Amino acid sequence: MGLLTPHPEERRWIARARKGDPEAIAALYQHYADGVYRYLLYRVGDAELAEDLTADVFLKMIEDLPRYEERGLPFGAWLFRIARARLIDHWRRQGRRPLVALEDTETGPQLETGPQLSQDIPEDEIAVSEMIQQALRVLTEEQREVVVLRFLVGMSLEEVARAMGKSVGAVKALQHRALSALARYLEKVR
Amino acid sequence: MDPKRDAHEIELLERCLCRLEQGADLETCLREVPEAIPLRPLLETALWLQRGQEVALSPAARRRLIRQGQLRAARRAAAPQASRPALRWAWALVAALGLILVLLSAVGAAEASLPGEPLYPVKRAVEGLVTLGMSPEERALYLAERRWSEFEASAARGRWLPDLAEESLARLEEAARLGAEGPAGPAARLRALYERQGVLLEETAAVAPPDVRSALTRARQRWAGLAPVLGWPEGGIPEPTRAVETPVLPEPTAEILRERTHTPPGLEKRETPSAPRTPPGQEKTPPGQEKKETPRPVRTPPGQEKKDTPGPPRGQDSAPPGDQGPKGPPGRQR
Repeated sequence: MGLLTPHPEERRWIARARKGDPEAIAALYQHYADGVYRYLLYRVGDAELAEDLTADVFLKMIEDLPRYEERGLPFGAWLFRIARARLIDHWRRQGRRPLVALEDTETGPQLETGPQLSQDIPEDEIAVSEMIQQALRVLTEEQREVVVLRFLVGMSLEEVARAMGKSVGAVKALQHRALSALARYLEKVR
Repeated sequence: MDPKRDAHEIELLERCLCRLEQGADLETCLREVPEAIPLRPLLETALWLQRGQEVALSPAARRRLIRQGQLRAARRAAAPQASRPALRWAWALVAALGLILVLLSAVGAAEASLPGEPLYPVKRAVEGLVTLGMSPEERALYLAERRWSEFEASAARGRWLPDLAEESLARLEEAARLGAEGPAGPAARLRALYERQGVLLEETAAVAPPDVRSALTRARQRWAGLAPVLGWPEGGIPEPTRAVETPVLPEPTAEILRERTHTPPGLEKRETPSAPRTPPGQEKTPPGQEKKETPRPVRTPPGQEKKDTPGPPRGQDSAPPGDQGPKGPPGRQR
């Protein structure tokens, strides 16, 4: 399920969550936590860090929930905006980007901490996730953002364009270049 | 690279991706869109990437996160109830205090304003409120004093506003007629104001530009005719109880001199900057000594500079010039 797909009960959950209803809060987490976690995991390449950042995003959501309606955004888009801001904040505090594109370095790809996944995630998921993270490093920063949002988080083309502040045409072009680069990389490593 | 071909390829790719998202498999999609066959590796890559969507939080991590969020929400729901209304009241109080401060500043600034200035209407409005609780004679005297202060202030800046003088005289007359000349406080104020008016009217009638000089002369005549109204004998008023200060008129700067193009020749010489004016009524030196020590030009008392000009009703016309102080107020001249 995509990050921005609203649940039919969503409005009721939000109203109750504002009053501190634990069940409504649990429902919002259940519906959105995986999408946020996935986005953060593929952007930072570290499962533990992605988990911590996901926790931060949802705590911020609870703090800001009373102000949500004034913004007039779909709840998922609003949550994603928090996630993106939290990620940028993390990078700023680290003073560096976690992933470096292959084409940008002479010494080859380097991760901030190397791909790590939680112990309690199934092995085949770990294998796929690690391979994808490895492959994403051949992309530029913008191409990586498009690929993560479109194919790993599950946003539509329009949602990606809105999230990145770009035109749909520009996102289509970025997507084409990213898939071409990844296809070349996969052909090489297989 | 051909941009047209690229654009076509980009569109074909998007079309196929949409079909895959709708549930079509790759072979079906390529059958439907044979032109997209060269894009097969890209479409396969997209399908491979979508396998990454299977990654999710572990159940333990999910439980931990939910517990954290519920605790935070419970704390938040309990705490802000008490603090939010208090915060709202605090803001309202700050806003109200700010508004009061702004209003007080505006009223304070308006107090020093003169006719023609933006805040002058505010001053007049505040005046209307202040005088609401006053008796009619007190109100008339209060307004007479204020208009006269404005006339003095504007004269000190080189602006001549005979309307203010007229209004002040009218208010003074009104106060006198309403009985403010009694033995209590208002009588002293009435006399002090009357003296201030006499001194300045004499001076301004001489130095004001020709276009307002006639209006000021009329005001001075009106002033002279007020003595009987105030209950004093024609040609003299009782000895003042306190010293009267005359505002210092502006020194003749180049700008003021330009305005006074029609000032009678020799007048500026009398008002040289080296001879600062002593406020009338404040001279402490005996008249005889002053004459010997001070080389300043002696100002002619009102009514003596021109025999045909009606002077203030104090009978000074008959007094010899040497008997009077150099700038004594009309009330002191006997």
